[in-house]
Amino acid sequence: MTTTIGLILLSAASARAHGAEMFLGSTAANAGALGLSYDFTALNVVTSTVSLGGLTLYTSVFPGFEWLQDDAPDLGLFALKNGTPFSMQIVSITAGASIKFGSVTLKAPGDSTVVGTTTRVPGDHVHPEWQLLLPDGVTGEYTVSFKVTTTARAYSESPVYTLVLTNSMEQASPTETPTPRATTTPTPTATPTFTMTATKLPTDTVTPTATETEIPTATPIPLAGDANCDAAVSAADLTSIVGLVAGDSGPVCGADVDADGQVNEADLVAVTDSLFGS
Amino acid sequence: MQRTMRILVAAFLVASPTMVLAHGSADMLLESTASGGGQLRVEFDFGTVARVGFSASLGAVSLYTGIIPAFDMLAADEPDEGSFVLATGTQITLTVTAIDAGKTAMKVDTTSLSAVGDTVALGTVPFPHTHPEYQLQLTLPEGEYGEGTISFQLTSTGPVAYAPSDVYTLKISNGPLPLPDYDTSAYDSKNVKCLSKAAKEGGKFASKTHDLLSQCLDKLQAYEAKAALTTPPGNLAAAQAAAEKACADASGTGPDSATLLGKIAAAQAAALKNIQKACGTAGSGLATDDDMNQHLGLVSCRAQELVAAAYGLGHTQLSAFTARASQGGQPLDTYFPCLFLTGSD
Repeated sequence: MTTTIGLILLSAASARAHGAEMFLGSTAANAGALGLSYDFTALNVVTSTVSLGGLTLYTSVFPGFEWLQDDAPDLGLFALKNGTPFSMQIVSITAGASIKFGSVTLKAPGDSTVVGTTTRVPGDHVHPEWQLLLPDGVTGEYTVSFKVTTTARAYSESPVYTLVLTNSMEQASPTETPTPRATTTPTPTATPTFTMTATKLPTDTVTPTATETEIPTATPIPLAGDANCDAAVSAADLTSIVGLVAGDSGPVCGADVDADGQVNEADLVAVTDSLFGS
Repeated sequence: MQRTMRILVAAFLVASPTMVLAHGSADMLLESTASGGGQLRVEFDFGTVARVGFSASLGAVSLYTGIIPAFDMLAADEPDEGSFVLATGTQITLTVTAIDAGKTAMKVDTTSLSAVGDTVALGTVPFPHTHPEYQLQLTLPEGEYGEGTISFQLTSTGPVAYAPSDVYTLKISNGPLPLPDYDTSAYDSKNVKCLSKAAKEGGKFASKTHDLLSQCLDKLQAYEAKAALTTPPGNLAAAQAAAEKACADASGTGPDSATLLGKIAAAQAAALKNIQKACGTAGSGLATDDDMNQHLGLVSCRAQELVAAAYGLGHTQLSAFTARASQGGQPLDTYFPCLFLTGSD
């Protein structure tokens, strides 16, 4: 049991370290389709890196790819075999968006590159550079639809996922004033066909506004135990609570599980028990 | 007891060395030089480089970016190494102390660092593994070699008074070829053959560059010696002609037309062609043609440095020789940006 908790927490530590990662697994033990656990409804913010010649490059290293170290049936995912290579293949992508791995850039449908190979080293991961190259002043949402493939015979390719990049901080914040979406961003034709349950969104939090051109305005209500504010209670929250107990600043949201006005060991125990049983 | 154990397990694992293992030596580990105090220190081989790859053309500028090395915490005390874990609650700040303005920059989360004095809070210990984004801007077409540096220092506030770190200088370069990582699937026979050929051709090119430059400087020194030692000055025409033949175009149409630079350029083109035979015209799975060309540029730069080490006045001598209007065009550094010794000239 200790080992199991340990491995999960180690992955959680990495998840905290890198914000929300895309966790890779398969839909069946040593078989099935590849799948990612990630909240693909979230906006992924890229920020200005360089502005020159009338163009601005926006970048971010989040989210990265991380592979499950242990089976997570509650997520509908199982750990891949050690040494499983996996690639990212673009299905559709909005003009201006690209994904860079080292010296390889993916920016057109069909572009593909090997992302990594699974290991048994907890926390191992790969970060792409998510990029938007836009004329100065242009903001909006840009989509990247992709699937994960592998040459390993045991697994089939993943469904198509669509990740949304935005260079508008306002659009990414549910408490800001709604901002119209950029008219220069066509919506992708490909949509996610595989919905994981890992990132359970609280039902009483963000409510989309009536039209597509507006952003959510409701204020999220913290989910008890959700210390990293990712709208789910997972092992990653243990890491966040440990950090808070140690004096870290940062996300708190539902860290105060027992609502006694402070984040302490009791909250850590409560979340541990809820995840792994008392 | 059970609860205490869980907390201890959780706390221990959060501070475990796994994140170090995840990236191995690619990380810059933050630590102190003494238990409960001492000086902040970054454990990293600063003789290596932060490799950047092409991202975009922004007007006339080619932008290269990369995210390795990352910052991470030392996981456990290593007394034998004089390395100790920083105290929980220590706030670490990075300050830029020197930078190639307009050429190099880095971004940590959303904070861009592009000028001396720019600072960013890396976090409060224990803070997460953090990938800066390194940038290299070159006013050159895509695929040309270049590099620059960023120097920084760490300071802290918190429960323990650590002395500021030394100043560290990180070189950002688009030259070195990508190294095979734990991604063994990319390290296939084709890549092995490709990298082997790249290494062999790189060695030959380095040797050729070194030989051509050395021959040029030998002739220049012979010319200068004859001019200085012959009393009264004799006929220097022969020595000058030999130097011009080795170093520059005797016709005076420019230093890069037929001799030194022309031969070096031809050698680089030949090396790239031979590499492409082994790797394919689109490069291997690890490196593109542009990567290879940048790498050869790095090889040339290192060969120039080697020449500069042997010919301490080489940069000055060649500058004087090529400064004549008839051999104009561009400053010498345009052709030989690495032909100088650090701290000289």
